[in-house]
Amino acid sequence: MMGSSRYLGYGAGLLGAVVYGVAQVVIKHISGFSPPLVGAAFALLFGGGLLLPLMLVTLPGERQAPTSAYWWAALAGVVTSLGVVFIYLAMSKAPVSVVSPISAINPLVTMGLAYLFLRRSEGLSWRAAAGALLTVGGVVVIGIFRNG
Amino acid sequence: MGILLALLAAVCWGSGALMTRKAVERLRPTVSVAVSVLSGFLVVMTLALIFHWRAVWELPGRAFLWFLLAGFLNFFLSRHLNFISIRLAGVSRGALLGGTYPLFALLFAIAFAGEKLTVPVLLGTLAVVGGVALIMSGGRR
Repeated sequence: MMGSSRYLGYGAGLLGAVVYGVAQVVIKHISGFSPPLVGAAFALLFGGGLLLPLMLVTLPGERQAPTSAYWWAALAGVVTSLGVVFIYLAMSKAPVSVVSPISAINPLVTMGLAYLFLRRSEGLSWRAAAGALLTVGGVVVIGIFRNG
Repeated sequence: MGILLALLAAVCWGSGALMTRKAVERLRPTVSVAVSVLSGFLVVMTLALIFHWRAVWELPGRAFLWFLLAGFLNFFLSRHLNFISIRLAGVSRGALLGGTYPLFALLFAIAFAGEKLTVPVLLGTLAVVGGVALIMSGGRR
């Protein structure tokens, strides 16, 4: 992968996090008049509706893509949504100050799985591993002391 | 029980990112994200109808504008950018950068909701910034 693509990827990742940070304000507002699961279902519906035209335009260029890639995407959607359901259930059983830091370790789960299954394409330097621990540690601290 | 459920959520999100990587290896992020959002919708809407049947039908009209905004920010923009990041920077770094959102939520809360910055939160913020700098400063993919 070219270096410039990698930096574009970093930028997209950070911008996605900024947008998700803004979305938290909207999600918090929605929780005032709708159960979280219902809010998530309709947000997925509208999000999917907005993405559909883009997908239909892009689809003709994807003739070479194997069916398995579509299945991976669908499975990712199902598993990620189950994560959302688990987090709502967790919040009904324990305080946010406990649930939020625990769920924040998910990038470490990703890194562990990537190390196990994608070692050839996803090798990590010691610097990136240290950065991951520092980042997740910081997010956990923010989660504990903001919601505590 | 709450801790176990939170751990399960972390495992789901962590493994979901790996599945996303398998998808975007061969499929453009635009198509991958649309397929993932629509499949997720089927699961979550089914559960919502099972557990909150009445609430679904009693939503106020204005709620749908908020759902539209949440869908636009959360899935059309944020998840789309996350998929692009995973394709270009790799799943480990993409998932990690996406996981920094509590920092930005905090910054917005300080800027617009008057939330106070405490010393532990400031230290956590510095750790996130330092960690991201380390991740972005190189190393092989």
